[in-house]
Amino acid sequence: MATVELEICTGTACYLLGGADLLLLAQELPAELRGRVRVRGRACMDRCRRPACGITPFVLIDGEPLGEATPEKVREQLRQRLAGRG
Amino acid sequence: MTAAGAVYEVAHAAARKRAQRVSGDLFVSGRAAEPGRIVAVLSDGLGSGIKARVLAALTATMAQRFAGHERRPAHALASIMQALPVCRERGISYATFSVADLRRDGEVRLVEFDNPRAVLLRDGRARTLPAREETVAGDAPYPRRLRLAGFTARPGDRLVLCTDGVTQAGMGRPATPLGWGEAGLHACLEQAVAANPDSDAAELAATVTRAAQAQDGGQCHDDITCAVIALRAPRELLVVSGPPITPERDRELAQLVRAFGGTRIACGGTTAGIIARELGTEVAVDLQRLDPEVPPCGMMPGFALVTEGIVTLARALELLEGGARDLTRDNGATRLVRQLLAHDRVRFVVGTRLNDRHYDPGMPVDLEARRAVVRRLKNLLERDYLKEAELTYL
Repeated sequence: MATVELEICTGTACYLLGGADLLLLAQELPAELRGRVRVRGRACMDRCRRPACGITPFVLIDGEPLGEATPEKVREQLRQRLAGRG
Repeated sequence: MTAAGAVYEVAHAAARKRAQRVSGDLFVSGRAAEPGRIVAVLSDGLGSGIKARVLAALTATMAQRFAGHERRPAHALASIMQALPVCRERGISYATFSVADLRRDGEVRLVEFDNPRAVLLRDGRARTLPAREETVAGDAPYPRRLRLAGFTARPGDRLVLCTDGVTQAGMGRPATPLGWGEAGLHACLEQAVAANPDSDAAELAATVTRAAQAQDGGQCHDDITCAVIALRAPRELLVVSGPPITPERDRELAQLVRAFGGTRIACGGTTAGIIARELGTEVAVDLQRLDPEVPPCGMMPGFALVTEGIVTLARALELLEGGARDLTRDNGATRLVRQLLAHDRVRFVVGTRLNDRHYDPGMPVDLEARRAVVRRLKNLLERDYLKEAELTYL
């Protein structure tokens, strides 16, 4: 079964500006994602310091950064990734 | 701190007389006028509850401040005793006191009044200290006597003070008709350090308090308080937080960390990342036990704890300002507080690189407060927790 990796930044800026909600999502994944998403925490990636990279909070989905991440956006991205693989 | 580098560790444990809201005993300790000098006082107020507590508080704080300002505490305390009233009905003083004056060179002076005699626990053996007595003039119907003792503390020594709730525990019970007594207390102390030679002051005080309560089957017929003052080789802690001012100094930070012989803590993901890179290792983030109060912790070889930065530090400061009473939650801040309390000497190294990302007006807190928070932590640990603390910037 195909799986996808989700890394959530736990640095101060990301945590305070939405990262905490993402961590909650990780603890309670929706049924269709459970068992197919490997969740890890990541120390600050320094993206927050560079405006060109986007807006906090950041996650990496299979190594690809996603800025201004909300639980909805992350869920959607994860579903798309998994659907694309079958 | 003594010239030999040893430090005093001061702790106490207590149990209230049942059905009382407040203990009539009080233990206070604080730094005295000269650097390195600590004065600790244990007082037992007449009666029980709030009234007793107020008497003990008056006596203890007066004694602690007065003795701390005087070079000859016995003289100061005799004056206090003359000022303290005697209960007309019962004919005894309103409060007892035991004062321990801990000097920087390891000299300890004791002045005791109406408490069980202080115990010196040295090389596994407990004994009362030889003392001379001085009668204090006053309008009491009985001769009030001060016990004066002194000794030179050696690393490994523990001085134990307690109120009569300890020595009279179990009184009237078949096994201990006259109470636990000094014999019971001494035996308990010797057994405790035989079983656990490295037990710290707080553990030993708690052990005695529990054992005293057990004498009465878990009930407390009188307020029980036990204070332990230990002289020890300091347990050292290093707390690093914040990237160094320029990347060129990252290596200096890593070298400082590597050379440090005690316990290491990093507060800040960026800081931990820098150290990991320089030392050729990795930081992992632990998402197993999340507490919404504080961001998650990390792990790194060679470090007892890796936490996030400012939010964790600010929460730790808050906990310590509140007396570190409730550490039942498990998060980066409570773990940091427990480590700070478990060491005698703390070295803070704060990196001063400006965090440009934290100038986002969307940020809910003023994050350049890292320096201010660490400075407050250092001062609080020194003043209220009697730790030795140092703060350097990088």
